[in-house]
Amino acid sequence: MENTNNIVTQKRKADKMEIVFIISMLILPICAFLLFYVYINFNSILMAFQRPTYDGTGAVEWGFTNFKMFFDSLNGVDSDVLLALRNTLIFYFTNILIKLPLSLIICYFIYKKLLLAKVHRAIIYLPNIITGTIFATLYKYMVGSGGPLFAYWEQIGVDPIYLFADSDYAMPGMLIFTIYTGLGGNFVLLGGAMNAIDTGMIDAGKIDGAGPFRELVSIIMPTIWPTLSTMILMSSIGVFTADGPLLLFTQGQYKTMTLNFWIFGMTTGIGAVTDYEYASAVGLIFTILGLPIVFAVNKILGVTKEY
Amino acid sequence: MNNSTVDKSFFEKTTNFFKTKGNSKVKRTKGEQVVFAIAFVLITIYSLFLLYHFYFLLQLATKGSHREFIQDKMANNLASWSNNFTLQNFSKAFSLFEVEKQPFTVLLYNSLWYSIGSVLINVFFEASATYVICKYKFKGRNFLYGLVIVRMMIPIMGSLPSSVRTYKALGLMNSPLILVSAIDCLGGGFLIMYSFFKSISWEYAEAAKIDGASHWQVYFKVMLPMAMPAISVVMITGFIGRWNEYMGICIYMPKLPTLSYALYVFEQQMDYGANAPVYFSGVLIAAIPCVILFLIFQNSIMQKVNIGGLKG
Repeated sequence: MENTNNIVTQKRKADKMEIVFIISMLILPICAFLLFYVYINFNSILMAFQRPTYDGTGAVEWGFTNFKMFFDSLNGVDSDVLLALRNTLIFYFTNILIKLPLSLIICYFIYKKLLLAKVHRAIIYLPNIITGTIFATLYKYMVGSGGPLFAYWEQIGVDPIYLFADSDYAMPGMLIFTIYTGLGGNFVLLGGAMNAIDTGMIDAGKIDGAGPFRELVSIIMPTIWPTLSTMILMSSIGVFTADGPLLLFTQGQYKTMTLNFWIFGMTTGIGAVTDYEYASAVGLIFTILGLPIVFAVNKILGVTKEY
Repeated sequence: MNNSTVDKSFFEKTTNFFKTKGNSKVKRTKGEQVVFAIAFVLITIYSLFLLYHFYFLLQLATKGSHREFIQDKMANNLASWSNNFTLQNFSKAFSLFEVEKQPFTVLLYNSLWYSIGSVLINVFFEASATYVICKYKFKGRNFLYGLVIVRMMIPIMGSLPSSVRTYKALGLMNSPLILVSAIDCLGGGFLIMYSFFKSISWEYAEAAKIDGASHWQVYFKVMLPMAMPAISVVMITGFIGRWNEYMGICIYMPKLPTLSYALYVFEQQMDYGANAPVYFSGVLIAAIPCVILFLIFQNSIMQKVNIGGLKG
């Protein structure tokens, strides 16, 4: 009898220790989560409904002024927000329709042990491990006055184009940059998924006469679909946060503004104006507009579907 | 989801790579060889173009003087080796390179404490929280897992102003206290770490417990060392990400500039008479730590990171 009592107390003690352990491991992360995620976002929603009275007291008026400002701004032909939305979508579709397929193709050839595959992989991944400032600066000097592209234009007698001081070229100039520096970024996940494919399947496809294109589309893509679809979903989740390195190139000038950079500018004052409350409201609007997109893409791709 | 299938598939994924290094036993046909040759040429051109950036960077960093740089710029001749080729700009970078009145060594120091500090704090708490959520059954466990997924699925836009206000109120702006924010770990790297912990069998913990180990001992002495390969990958990629960060620094600690942010500020000031060749030498120096880290750990980074979807 005494023995059983002993075991029960020991078990209780063990349960208690387990609870103490679990709490000790989770308490700080949960507090940080509540502060840095829950509180900050809750406060952001409140800020969207506030308007400073600008009377020096720091007082605010509650209401829908910020939202009204937003909808009023949509009417103008040169609406900043609409332009930002357009550019944001351009960055998003560049990610999904150009960068991802190109990454996939290059990753396929690296997976298939193209000559010098590992060297190529390391070089193409380089822009991801070096600060964006460096590649961006070099790109600017390469295509800017005094650089090799200008020298080439001079040689063939073409009038030079100042890529990042021209509304017609600034966006395309930046898109080219994001494409060629962004292809390696997907290698980690795509490569990991491809390396996990059972080679028996690839060999079977080959024996059936599948060429590289068939192999990629009919064997590899369906096999790595869980990873691929997660990547597409992750991009689509952030559809309105899609962005380029605006800070390094144009700071939103020359018709390159994006939603994300617009909020960044409104917060830091880089665009000369700061308006925390208005930025919070516009952010909230696009968060809500983004929700159905997340659910739709998730439904189509079936990423979070239970087996 | 079935635990055992995850365990099995994960190990298969990582070990299969070695077995299949040759990839295929079936020989390439003539047509395929042509496709691969074309692909090789195109990918090589692309790689060379990326490498050209560094060639160009070296040309810029070894110009004899700022005056020569300006002259070359006017003559559309920046992409050329200088007649007064010098490597002194690299040592000058340490003395002349200055942003916000902070010398190069201070910038380097800021980069180091910020990157290493926030990575260590973040990964330590992330590993602890993930381990408990993955291996222990307790009330609220599924709720926490769900929270992480929801956080990833619904990115809230426009919380930056609120974030800045909160950081200011807490005194985290322009202060090493900013590292506290790294404790907030229930997000991005969670899923990667989760799949690693899931792949480690609980039997090791049971065995240690029979030997009288406490929960803490099991975690720190048995499970954590076993998860180290995964954790080190998360740490290296985390370090590289933070070392390269400039927008976050611009928002939260512009008065404690790191090297990456300083390069941005310096580049913005370039038109106002900064010393260009010295700047480009600084650029090259700033890139070195990450390149070395990557070259050492590239195989781990490329092969050990796996997400198989978001299914819990």
